Amino acid sequence: MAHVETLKDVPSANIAAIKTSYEQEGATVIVVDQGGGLSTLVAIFPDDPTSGTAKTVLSQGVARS
Amino acid sequence: MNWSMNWHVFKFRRIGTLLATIGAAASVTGCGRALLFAESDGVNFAIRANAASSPPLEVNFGLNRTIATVVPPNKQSSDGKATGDAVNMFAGFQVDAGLEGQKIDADVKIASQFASGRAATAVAHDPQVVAKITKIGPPTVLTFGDDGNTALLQAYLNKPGTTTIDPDHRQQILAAMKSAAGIEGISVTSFIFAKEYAAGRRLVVAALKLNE
Repeated sequence: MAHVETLKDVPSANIAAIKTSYEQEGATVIVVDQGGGLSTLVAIFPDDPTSGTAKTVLSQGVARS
Repeated sequence: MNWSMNWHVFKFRRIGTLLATIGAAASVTGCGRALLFAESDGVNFAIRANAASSPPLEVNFGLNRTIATVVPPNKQSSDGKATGDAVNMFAGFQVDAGLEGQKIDADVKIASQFASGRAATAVAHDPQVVAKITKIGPPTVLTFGDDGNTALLQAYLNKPGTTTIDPDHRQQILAAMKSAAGIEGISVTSFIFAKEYAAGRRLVVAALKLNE
């Protein structure tokens, strides 16, 4: 089952590092500007982030592209 | 609470509008093998309060959702006619309504997911993986909040001097999250950067001896 994690009130200085970290854990990340220098990051995982399935799906996609 | 959800009602006029929009987009882009996807959502929320009636308060929630796609074939004959299978596409949609004890502040969560192209092709052979992609769990909503332990865990998670995650250290953090703090089902990233996990971070940092 896909898994969605939403992190609110992220300062602009932290967005890049957190987005990269989510992506390396297998998530597709959407950044939504809240205004006032803050953003919400929505991380969509193909599977529970504690499992290896997300990484497997990503590697399959890369291997066949 | 009077709960009404009518999300299977499709309005042909709206579908027609969406298809017309997609057609226009296809003509502009030259179409080719592009997969086009359009979505229209309508949410209505109404509250009626009348002390003389029973029940004195009624809340009605309505969701009207229309999705239209143009899915091109993956092959064409020499004269331009479609042959072969369609481009792969999977989509998931889920509404979770929390109606615990008929509370007025019940949460309604709407989630959707869409995969196409190579990603869909890559998993198409495995129905179990497709099922996981097209099913969406309830979102976990957290708030950013860092502290000294955030920096320690972030430094440990990444390979030295980089922003690249060390997979072994990630697994060690996940294991410590579960064994030392009883936390699982959340990404390491959220664990490190959400204020909700500040107490858990202290336990994990101690378990991994990162503050020594």
